[in-house]
Amino acid sequence: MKPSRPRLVPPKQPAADPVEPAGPVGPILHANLTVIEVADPFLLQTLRADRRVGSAILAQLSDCVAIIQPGQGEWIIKQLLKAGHTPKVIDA
Amino acid sequence: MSWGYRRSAPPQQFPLDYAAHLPKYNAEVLKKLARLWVGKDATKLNKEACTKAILRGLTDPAAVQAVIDGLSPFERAGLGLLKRHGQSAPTREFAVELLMLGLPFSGREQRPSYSYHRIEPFYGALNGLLGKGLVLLREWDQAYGYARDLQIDEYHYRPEVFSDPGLLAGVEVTPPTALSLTPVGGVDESGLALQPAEVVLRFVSLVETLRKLGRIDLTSKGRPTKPFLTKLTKALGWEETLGTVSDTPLPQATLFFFQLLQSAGFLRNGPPFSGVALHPQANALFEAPYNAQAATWIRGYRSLTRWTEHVPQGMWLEEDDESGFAKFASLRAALLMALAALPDATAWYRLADLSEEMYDRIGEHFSLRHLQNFYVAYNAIPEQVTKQRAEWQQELHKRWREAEQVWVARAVIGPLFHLGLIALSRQASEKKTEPTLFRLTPLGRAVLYDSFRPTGETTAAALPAVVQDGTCWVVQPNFDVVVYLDRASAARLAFIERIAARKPSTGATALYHLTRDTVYAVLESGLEPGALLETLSRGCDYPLPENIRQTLADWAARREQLAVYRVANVLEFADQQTRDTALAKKPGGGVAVGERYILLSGRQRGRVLSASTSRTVDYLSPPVRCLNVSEEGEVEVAHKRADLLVQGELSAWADADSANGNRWRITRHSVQKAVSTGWTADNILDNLKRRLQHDLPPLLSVAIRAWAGVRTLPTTVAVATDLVLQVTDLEVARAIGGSTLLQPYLRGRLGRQTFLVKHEMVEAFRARLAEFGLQVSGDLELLSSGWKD
Repeated sequence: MKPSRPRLVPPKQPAADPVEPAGPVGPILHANLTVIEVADPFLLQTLRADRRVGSAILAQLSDCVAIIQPGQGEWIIKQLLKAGHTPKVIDA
Repeated sequence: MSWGYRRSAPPQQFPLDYAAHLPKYNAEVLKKLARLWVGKDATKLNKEACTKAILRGLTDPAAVQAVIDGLSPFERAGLGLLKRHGQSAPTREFAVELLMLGLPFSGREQRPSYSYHRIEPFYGALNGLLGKGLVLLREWDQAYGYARDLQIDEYHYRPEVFSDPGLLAGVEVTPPTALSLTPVGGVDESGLALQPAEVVLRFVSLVETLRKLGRIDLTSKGRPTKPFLTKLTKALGWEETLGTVSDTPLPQATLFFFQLLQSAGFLRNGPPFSGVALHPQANALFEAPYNAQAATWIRGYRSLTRWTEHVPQGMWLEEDDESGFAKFASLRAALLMALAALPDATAWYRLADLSEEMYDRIGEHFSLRHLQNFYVAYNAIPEQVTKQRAEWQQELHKRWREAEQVWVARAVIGPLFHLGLIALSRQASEKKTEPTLFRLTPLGRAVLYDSFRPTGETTAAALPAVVQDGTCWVVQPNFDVVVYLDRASAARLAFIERIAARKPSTGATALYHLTRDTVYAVLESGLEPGALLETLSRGCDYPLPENIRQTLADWAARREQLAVYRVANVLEFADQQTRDTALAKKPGGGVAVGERYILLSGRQRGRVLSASTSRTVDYLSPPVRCLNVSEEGEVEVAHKRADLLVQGELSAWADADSANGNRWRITRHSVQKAVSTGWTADNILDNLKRRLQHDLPPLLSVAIRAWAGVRTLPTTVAVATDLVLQVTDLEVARAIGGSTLLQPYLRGRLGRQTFLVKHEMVEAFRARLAEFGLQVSGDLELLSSGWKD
């Protein structure tokens, strides 16, 4: 059985670390992510509440954008179709 | 030098050129060939001079014309046949076509000088042309030595014959001698026949279904894999109707049409490990004139492999062995020649009569099964020879009726009917349900019959013109689309195949049904919603019903509500201001998401990869190790190394520290909550281990298992009221022995699984163990009293 997660925690602003020195100024590039984007925040909440789909949503960047667990892209597309959604799948 | 196996390049065929082939022959052979061009003087020439004489002759139009004038009708017709093929033809098929010309050929009694076998009459006609050098066998570049004979027998390995373009230019395509068939009168003219548009629809459906399925999986032998074929069969939905239900059965219809597509060259190798793919120009053929389309399918059909009309009893055929299908290709070539040799292109004939006529021309030279040869007994007198020959012929004829005649009927009723080339009927007096009469359709006549005859010799068949794009369907409010095939262009058919599901229908109309799934699939394939509505409206006889228009728009809009980026990049900035500044500097460089992120997809990804970033986290690689955990379950995220997912992972099986976003705690409560949502102890431990920057403390591992209620690991320990701790499980004992947290409670270790506990700390130790889910057994407490005494 695939484990489902009880709740979702959006990535937080790193807490100030007095020990480690300040890092470089440039942004961090997160590459090769599978991302889900919705037009209505309520839809994302609905997806998160879905036991099957919600388990694969690991992080939320905004009200409408979330990140899928790596390697679960095809699985989640299938689950969305099964749940009656018609996702627009955007390839690289 | 190594004597081991050395991989060499696969053999390549020589170019279709006499100059490339002549040096492969020895002097004796070349002298025979040169006789055609220089007469008897050829015997005095050496090898080089012979070659020059032949090549000089081929380039001299007057010499070529003189040679052609001196040829027999059979030789001229044979060259004409090769001209019809192009410049080259498959050897076996060409050999049988020569026999089917119905012209007497010389060299029937020629026998290869190197062979002890009796002559192979199957190649007798071809050997007549080869012997004079009018056609040559196409050679391989890795063949050794010189060819010592021009003629071939059954055991040749030259799959192609060719001739010189100069020679072919001087001859005309000649029709085969007409068969002695008697037309059948009083036949119901309507009969059974497919319209060209119905055939186009069949192929359009196949091509569009293959396009929808995407990947085409073939076995290493080139046959479609069974799962793929099952999927294709299900998607097309023809198999049962075409195979059994109709009066014109086509067995394994899906495989037939697929193999035909492959044989006609519309499948090509895709990228490595991705099987084969449809040729991009596959749809262009459907817009060509019907006779051009039919000619392509006929070429593919003649050389079709891995599918056959009928396998006669006693014939062994291996599915993956392509050479095993060569005999069927030969018989198909013979059948197509027989149809070109009909006395009247518009008359009805009996199928059985056609088979008999084919037997007359090739029956003694060819059999799908083993061909029984005729041997004359030693010292037999002429009367005995005549009698034996008659018996042999009788036996051959009987075997033909058992095998080849059945095959001919199946080929005409099956593939040729379904390609729209043959019309079928039966006489009213016959009780049989299956058709027994046939005639050429206008399309069949144009492709099979008229193509052998010069324009003007026969009345050209009346073929319908290929339909141009126009209105051809009616969209009904219940989402059904009725397509009128006589007005539907190939492009319109391809479009409707893509956007709607085909429903069973026959005759002049095809019925489709628009569904949310089919519309979604076509939008996913790249069609814009506007183009979908516009094309559907343009093809419609009447204005599109308003409910259809609205529903299609709704389905398209709904798709826009939810997007999944298969591969995207995210740029994370320190704060919103930095992000907005970066975005302002580079407009169009991504989409702002949340407070600190920019989402990059498609081309934007490539552009930003070269931008200066402080760190790159690749989510295709193993997860970043950014956690530290203590024996007590305190988890700390090293935020400088953290990725976007670690917090989400932790939230599944750890409790967040409300004061510090980078601190978490694994507790009995958090583990039990994770277990209640489907996690197991192993899942949690694996997840944790992949993220840790150090080894997982054994005590925490034991505790997580215990909290998760894993029963396979005994967790019972005992504490003596005084000083002794006995642990039944070695793993737990190791965890306790290695724990820095528990060290203050222990005085020492007595053995691998026995510890000495400080007397004054026994109760505190017992409580500590209970926190980690390790229950203390009362039995061992009693034991410990005895031990003390």
